[in-house]
Amino acid sequence: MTQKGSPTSLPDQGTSRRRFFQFLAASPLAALAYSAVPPSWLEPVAAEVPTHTPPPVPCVNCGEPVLSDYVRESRALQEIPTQQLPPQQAQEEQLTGSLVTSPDDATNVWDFESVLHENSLAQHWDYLHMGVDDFETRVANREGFQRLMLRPRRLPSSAPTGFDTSIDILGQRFDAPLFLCPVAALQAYHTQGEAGAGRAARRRGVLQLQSHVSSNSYDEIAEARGEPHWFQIYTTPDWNRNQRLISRVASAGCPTLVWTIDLLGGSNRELNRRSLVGEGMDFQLCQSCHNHQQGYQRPMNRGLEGTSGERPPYTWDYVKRLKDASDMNLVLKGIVTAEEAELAVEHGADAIYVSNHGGRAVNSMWSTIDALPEVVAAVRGRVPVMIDSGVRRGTDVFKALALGADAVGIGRPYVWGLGAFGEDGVEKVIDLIMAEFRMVMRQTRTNSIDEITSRFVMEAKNPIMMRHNQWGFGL
Amino acid sequence: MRPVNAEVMSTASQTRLARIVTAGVVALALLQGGTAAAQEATIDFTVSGSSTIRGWTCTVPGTAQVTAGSSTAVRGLADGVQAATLSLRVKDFVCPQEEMREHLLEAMRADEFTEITFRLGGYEASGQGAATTGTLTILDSTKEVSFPLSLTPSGAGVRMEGELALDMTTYGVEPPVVMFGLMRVRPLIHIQFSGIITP
Repeated sequence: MTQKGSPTSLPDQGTSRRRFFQFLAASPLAALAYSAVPPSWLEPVAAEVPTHTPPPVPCVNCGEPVLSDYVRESRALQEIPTQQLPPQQAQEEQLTGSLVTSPDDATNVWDFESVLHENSLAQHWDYLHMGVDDFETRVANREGFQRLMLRPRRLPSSAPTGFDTSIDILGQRFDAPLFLCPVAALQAYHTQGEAGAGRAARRRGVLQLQSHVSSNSYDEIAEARGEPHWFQIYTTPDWNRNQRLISRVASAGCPTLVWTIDLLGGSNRELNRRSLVGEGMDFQLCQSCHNHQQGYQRPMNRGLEGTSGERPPYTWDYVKRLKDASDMNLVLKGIVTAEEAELAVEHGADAIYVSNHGGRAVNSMWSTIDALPEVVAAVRGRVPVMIDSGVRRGTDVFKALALGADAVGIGRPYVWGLGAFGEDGVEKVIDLIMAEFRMVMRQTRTNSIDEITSRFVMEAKNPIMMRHNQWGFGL
Repeated sequence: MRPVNAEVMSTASQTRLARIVTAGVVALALLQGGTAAAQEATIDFTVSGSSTIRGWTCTVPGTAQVTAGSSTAVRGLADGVQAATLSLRVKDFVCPQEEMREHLLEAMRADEFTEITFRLGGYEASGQGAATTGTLTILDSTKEVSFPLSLTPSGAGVRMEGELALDMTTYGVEPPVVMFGLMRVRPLIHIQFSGIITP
């Protein structure tokens, strides 16, 4: 009998640890939890697996090989050293799947995301992938769409007379209600850059918005596209510089200027900052492509030097100033409230662009699809309303149109397509989303964009089922 | 024996000789007509791939030598194709950056091996064109490849389009590696081509 207070016969720490590993090695249940086992345990657990000498194979045909050489070879199992397949890699493979090798093999836009991830320099990937702070706004954008559910109609009262997905916006007609959002520096993902995206968009009858910080100039993209596209501007404090840029794109035939007002206060891009200071960042490599020599500027900023002008504050008066600077239409990008939508129309905006910059401007923003109804209500049909941020599916396009948008933008998805397969990838991304969208139209018995109204959507009463994983794929 | 002399040749003899020569020329022409001449057309090639940095695309003009006739009919070519060769000059590659082009030419050993060539070996007609097999020669390596070919009647000719993916290392091409390995071109490339042939 052990007396109270007497020393207990406890094994030493090393023995105890070894027994634990022996238990794990022998337990079939523990094998099921393989993915949860820390990598540092794998080797000691493997060492505790008893070396088992198999019993001799009974004579089946008196000494002849039991299996033909061919079969034996093909059935031979490769030994997989445990340390080469840590759980996190196995899990990533399971979540992301195998990579498509052709645009035709893609089944949805996320197939291109994985390929772009594989193809890109880590810093380039991080730049595209990042959402500010904790990615809350990126997640909110997806959740916003997923909270909305469809209310389809099953049978029409009469046979449909046509099927039309085209839209008219600011005097231009496009085959699809989609547009390509302005995204910076597309040659970071594919040498074809914005020109390649433009060719694909033109072939699919889709509007394209060029970023101010694009890799290709306005003229290069317009030439590749074969028609003028819209231009997005980040204004600088120096008005004269802005005026010179506006005059340049206007004289190149640009019909519409899009002023981004959702980044005027800056943004906290943590992933980008970590990426740029992390180990392995080779600045010589960056400079070899970015040409960060003294005085280097992106194409749309070249040749804008000249006399500095006044530095007017960014107020609502600035909208009129921009309007008066050229004959182009003016779109305000970044409006997410009814109050500002009303002000934007009052100050002469030709269209309102509901955007939170794809979750890249401010954390904890509400989703654009949540903001859309109040903006549409405030605008009261006086000008077109555009929307982007979080659009990944044809159903998302349908929901945005149902809540009053006139055109729906995609950003990351087409860049995933571009980075994966060049302009063919962009084309396929557009095709996938439009195929999904057309199917939703058929399922809801809507035959034109005008027929898609808020009667076809409702807010969900069920919990959101997010595609989710720890790497942030699938947002 | 009377010498064959133009000065002394009788009118009858002259007429007979003229008939023989004419018959010979006609016979030769008829014989040549049995073997159709190869028609040359310009073909645009696009070569795409990826690297550890980004995707890339280079283009290069090439030619197709197509001899029509005496074979299985395919879309747009009622008499079929006897022979076809697609070729391009390596030094004609156009890439978005000159530095990239230089790396490509270096990898392709352009001074040593000036052309890339595909020779049609056989085909089977399919709905949109043909399933082709043939040999592809890159550097000093020749391998059999097969790929679908799309044929679409276009004006007076037939638009020929095709694509194939291949691992350049199987042909002995070492994918460019620059910046001490920080940028590596991946070995899998995708070749697309398109052009109008006039049979």
